[in-house]
Amino acid sequence: MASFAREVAYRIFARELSDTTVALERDPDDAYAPQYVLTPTGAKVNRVFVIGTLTEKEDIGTDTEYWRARISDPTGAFFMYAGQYQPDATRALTEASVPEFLAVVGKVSVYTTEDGRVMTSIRPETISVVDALVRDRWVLETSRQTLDRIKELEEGNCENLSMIEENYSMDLEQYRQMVASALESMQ
Amino acid sequence: MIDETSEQIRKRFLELNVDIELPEIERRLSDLTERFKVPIAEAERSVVSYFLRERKIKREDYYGTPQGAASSTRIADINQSEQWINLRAKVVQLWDSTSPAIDQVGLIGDETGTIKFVKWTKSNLPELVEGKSYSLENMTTDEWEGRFSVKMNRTTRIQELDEEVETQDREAQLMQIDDINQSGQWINLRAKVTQLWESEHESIDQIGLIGDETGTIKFVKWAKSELAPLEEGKSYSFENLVTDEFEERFSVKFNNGSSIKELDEDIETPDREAHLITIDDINQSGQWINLHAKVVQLWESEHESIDQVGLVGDETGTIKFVKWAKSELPALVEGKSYSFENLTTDEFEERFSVKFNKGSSIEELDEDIEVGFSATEFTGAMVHIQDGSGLIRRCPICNRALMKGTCMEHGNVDGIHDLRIKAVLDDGTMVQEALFNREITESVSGITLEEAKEMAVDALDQSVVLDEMKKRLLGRYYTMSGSILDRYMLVENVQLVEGVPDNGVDALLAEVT
Repeated sequence: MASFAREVAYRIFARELSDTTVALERDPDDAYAPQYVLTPTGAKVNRVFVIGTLTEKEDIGTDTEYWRARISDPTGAFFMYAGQYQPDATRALTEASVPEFLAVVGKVSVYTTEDGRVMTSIRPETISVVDALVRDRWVLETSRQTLDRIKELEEGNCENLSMIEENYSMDLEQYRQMVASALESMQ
Repeated sequence: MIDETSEQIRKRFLELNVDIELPEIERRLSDLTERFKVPIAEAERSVVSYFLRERKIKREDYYGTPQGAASSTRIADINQSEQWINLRAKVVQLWDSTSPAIDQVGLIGDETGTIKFVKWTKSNLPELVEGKSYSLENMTTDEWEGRFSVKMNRTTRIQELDEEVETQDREAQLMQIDDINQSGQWINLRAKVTQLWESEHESIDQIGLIGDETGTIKFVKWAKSELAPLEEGKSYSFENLVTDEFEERFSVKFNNGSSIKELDEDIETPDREAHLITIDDINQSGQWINLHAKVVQLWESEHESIDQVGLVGDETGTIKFVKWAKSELPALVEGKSYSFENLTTDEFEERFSVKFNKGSSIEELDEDIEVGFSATEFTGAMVHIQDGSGLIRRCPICNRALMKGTCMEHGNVDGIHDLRIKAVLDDGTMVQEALFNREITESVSGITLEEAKEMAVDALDQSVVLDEMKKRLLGRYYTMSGSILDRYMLVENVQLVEGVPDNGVDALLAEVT
């Protein structure tokens, strides 16, 4: 039976999330099944917790506030959209300034643009301003958990192994390098 | 790297006849790359955005990219939110709008399926008529809890079609309750009303359980549908109900097209012989059981239809219980042990609970049942703070948190202020809900009860305390310890975890390289 317990917030670097192109099919018999995306290192993700620097924010709404924001970590950038259905996140984005460290909890979705590019974005649930010390801990934790996933995947321990092989290059060395460069940025 | 990128940015702006000084660009770039550890490409983007805004230049002029247009699609193909789409569809149902911001809401359908639509009052669009077909251009898709909907906005174009758009057939079939496994189906049932519950909303006329030989199911009868009232214990033939699903549970909804006919026969509903079991044996919902257990905690009831709610426990664990006001059972006292008979088990979000009903019995035991608890530790980021946190008021008699200044048990009382936090911590692999009492809340938030009261008085609003706590706590890492009760850890110790351990970065780097 599918689980309706609160979804864990995965720790994923921006580069890995922006490489993500696979949205898992929902159970067709279950209209309330959560949407998951499958990342190149094998994480099956509905929710993420990310910390990075707010590098852009823009209110693109017409009738109501609708914010588009970019949050950068040492490997790339997360894209997020927040509007009237995310009142806490919208208020936080209204108040936030560029650049500033933000901690974001949100849901991930994969979509295809008009010109055929597959993009990921985060719909934030909560956003808070944090300092460099908290950010450092996130980078270390995300490095740890990314390396753990790479190792599991290399050993073939992944429930969606065949789907990953079909959709991604399986060049896991690039993600090791990504982790290495993230860690080096902290030295 | 920074020199080069700064030069490029300056050059591109000069082509647009905007002169930006090089040191200004360099300063912004290096602040982002050095202090904020942002990759150079991201820093460039951020700095360009800043100057585009400052100098009021369009993004397209700098980057030269065109805007996309909405694409025509069919309802069954909608599987993403935030898409711009066009549809040709028929208005299948119009519902009551629940908010003045919503002008019209309901279902539209085409050959492939139906989908909910929302039309905002602000958008000033023409009125849609039930049964008519339209070309609908420039809508956006949205998603909530896995269901898609379309939103009509100011730029949406609505045009009535001469031809009628075919929608999917909805001929209702006679079914048995056990066979209901899809939502959105039109069905007929022959069933008995086994329970009527208190309606929690004025839009709901009646709500409860109906049952046939194969099982029972929740029903909802809207006030709008203007159907004859159902009576508990009577059997009916129901036609044209719609099945629905929420949190993996099915229900049936009555609507304008439904019909109700009382039957002479009495429909048998499933047998329900209760057995005495232990709490850790509860692994199915809808079972009738007996328990010997102690009342570990009484929580504040969140609704007047609920008389008491809390936790009961035996040697094997604890479980949530709900006692309906309607069932008219004696009050349970915290710390006392009882023999409970004829409770039903229920499940929500993979957690089980037991419910008392009219047929349940409660008998106090002389023995004192020992309850199995366990203490544990958890480290993670605080990802959520639940409602009911911050500055609250409690009933001076029973200590329950007041709802809108009222105690469920003792009515309007002069509440005593208290602080608490119901937090969710997450370590990337696991989630732990936690209850911080006043002492823990004060130490972790740095806001004392006295300060919280002053903040609330200054702002004329006690929610400012919760907002401030969210700002201070969310996104930070904590290590907490305490005992686990049901979903919650009752936190006895909590500590902010800051920075990274000595050698942590180097040790991990050694693993990669």
